[in-house]
Amino acid sequence: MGSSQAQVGQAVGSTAAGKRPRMSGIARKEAIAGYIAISPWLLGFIIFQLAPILAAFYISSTEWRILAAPEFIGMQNFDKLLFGDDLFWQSIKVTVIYVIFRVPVSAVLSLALALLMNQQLAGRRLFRTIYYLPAVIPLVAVSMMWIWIFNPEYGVLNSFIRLFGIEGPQWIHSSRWALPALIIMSLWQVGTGMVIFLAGLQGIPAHLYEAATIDGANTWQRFLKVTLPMLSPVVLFALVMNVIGSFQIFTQAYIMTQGGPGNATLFLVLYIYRNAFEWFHMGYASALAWVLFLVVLVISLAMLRSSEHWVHYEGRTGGA
Amino acid sequence: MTAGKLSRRHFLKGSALVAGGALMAACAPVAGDSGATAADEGESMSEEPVELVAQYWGTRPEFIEDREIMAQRMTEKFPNVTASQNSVPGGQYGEKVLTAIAAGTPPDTMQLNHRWEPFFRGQEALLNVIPFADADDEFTFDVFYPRIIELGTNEGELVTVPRGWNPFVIYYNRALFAEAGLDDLPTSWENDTWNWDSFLETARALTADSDGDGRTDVYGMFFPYWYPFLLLGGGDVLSDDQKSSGLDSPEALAALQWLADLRLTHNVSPSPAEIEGLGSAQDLFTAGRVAMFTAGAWGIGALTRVEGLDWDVGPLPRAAGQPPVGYTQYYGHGIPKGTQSADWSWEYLKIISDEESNITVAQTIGDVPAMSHIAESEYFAGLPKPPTRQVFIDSAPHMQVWPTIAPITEIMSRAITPELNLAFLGEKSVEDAVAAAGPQVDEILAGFWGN
Repeated sequence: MGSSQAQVGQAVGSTAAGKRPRMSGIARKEAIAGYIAISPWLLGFIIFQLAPILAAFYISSTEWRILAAPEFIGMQNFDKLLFGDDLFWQSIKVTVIYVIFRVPVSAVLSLALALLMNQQLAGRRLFRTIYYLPAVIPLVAVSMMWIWIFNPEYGVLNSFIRLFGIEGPQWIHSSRWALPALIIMSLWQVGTGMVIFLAGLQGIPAHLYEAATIDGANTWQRFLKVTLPMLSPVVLFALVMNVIGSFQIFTQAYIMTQGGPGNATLFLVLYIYRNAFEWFHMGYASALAWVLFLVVLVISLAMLRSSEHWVHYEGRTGGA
Repeated sequence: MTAGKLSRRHFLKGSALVAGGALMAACAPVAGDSGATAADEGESMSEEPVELVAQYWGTRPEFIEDREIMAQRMTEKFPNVTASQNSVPGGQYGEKVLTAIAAGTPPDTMQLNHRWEPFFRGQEALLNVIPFADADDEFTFDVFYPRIIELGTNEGELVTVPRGWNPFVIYYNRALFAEAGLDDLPTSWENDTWNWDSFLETARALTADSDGDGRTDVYGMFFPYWYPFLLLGGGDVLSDDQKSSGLDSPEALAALQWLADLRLTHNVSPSPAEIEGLGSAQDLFTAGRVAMFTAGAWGIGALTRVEGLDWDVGPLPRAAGQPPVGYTQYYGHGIPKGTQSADWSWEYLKIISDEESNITVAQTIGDVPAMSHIAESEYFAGLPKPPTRQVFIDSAPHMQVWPTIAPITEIMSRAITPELNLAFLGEKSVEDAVAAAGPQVDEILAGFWGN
């Protein structure tokens, strides 16, 4: 594979060294049509995403309370958050713990549900709808509902636990249990991952299973040797999206715990929000936002890089 | 034009124009950004058509109606003026106003209170209203409670014309008091028999497990706000010079410990989980689950509407050896810098703060009007419910507010509240919570004072 890549590289290089191939009329029309088609998104991205991201980078090097002009302070905001802000490290700790627990557990549950829903069960469409339903309910409404579920005195969760003679924890009213409570709550939305995995499962050709069965593979072996490798690109996609989404957790904490008790659920995005819109330290909030961006970027790249070792792409051979 | 005639250069030019136009449109202020005021430029108020916007928080129907009436009165008084309101939910107030001011389109008047006045004053975003008042024969500060004006004046400047105030009192359920064989609360703020000991005894007598299932059915009291008790106990969140935390003073520590003990030791107050499960303090009170609770005058309106509820109010109990404290939150309106015409803003502000509007505060909104003669008239003091409305008014000589230093909200929500919540939950001792909050308070103050 390595040698073939080199050959391709040479071929491209030799073409590029010569005169650039002229685009045919049809190709040009298609290119223009393509640009026009994507231009609304492209403009939206540039104006509403790229520009604010770049502006935030500049703002992160300033002290800006909005009404007075930003005052350039170099890297002081980054220096403060790295070496002088315990709440920043608390928010990083809380967020990372959430990601570490939430991502794998929800991935396993989503996959298990998808495997179930992929069976020829009576009423499976109904079940698919039921499991996906939480994903379409607004998070604010979901949060309000979970406040009730977690209420230690009157909530259904502790009422259920009480049936076994055990007094349940204080959940979101305890600094020890508030974060686990939000992790448990996040599993409510495994339906989103289930749908993605289900689509992946249905794309696996039936003949592979037939071949494996003929070769004497049992159910577990078929899952390990056919399903998982064939599903691995989908797993990669789901994991990356899940990690990014989990780092951005905000609504639940904002509504249910306000980051408490005692900063036990002070997620990084909530901390950014408070700095920006409660205390109006826009420069510092921008620096925090850039740190979040870099953390997510590095982890996403690491996951993509690691995928060479575990993701199987159909049609590719060799190490990948 | 066919697609074939569109060159790449033209396409790119067109795209750049569209993008540039969109960017300019996004950045342009909605209205003119004059910045300078008529007062600044020495211009007189003209008969030219003027559009004025008053900025408020809160979107309850009675608020909206009240503001609509004031806007109509402005237009009636000045036919060339089109006055309107911009009311946003309380949680969005700061960012909406800041965004508007930063974009060069500030409102013409804006609502202010104990939270927003220090912040916007600290940002130097508000005009001093004293020169406007001095130049206006129709207006005098003498009609307002002097203590409100005194507390709002900072380095000779006043940025808020007050409209109403919310003295904190004890709301109590008279029927539950009667059941427990207790007398009504005293009405005098100076009465030192109504103190923390008698308050606790009263709360204990009221706390009851009516059905004997081992769970408390009626709690003696509930305090949604800890700050008034900190003041009552002789403490405060900041030191006297406002350069460091004041929570580690013996008075502050004792007051916070006493508050924590109400639930953790004496079990006379519900836990946060019970409150969350049953609703707000007011809901608990209305349902007869809490016999006393602390709140500002805003409780009057809601409780008056509950039929069959026999309730009244009493003063906050005094701590041993401490003077009475009438903790209050006042609110009013100010003029943002950069408004299109400060003179017109002042005229609108006068209507928002005048007698008629003070009467609305008393009758419709239920707060205590900032004008003393309206508060002490039949419009507020003379209303039948609760029977002892005078308690609110009598707190005036003892009026205290929370610190007016600009970063007070950050000090409270970032440094103090998370730690104290742990103490009130019983997860941390009061001493440890105060020790953890102190350096955070000091750090914010150091940043503010530029140390």
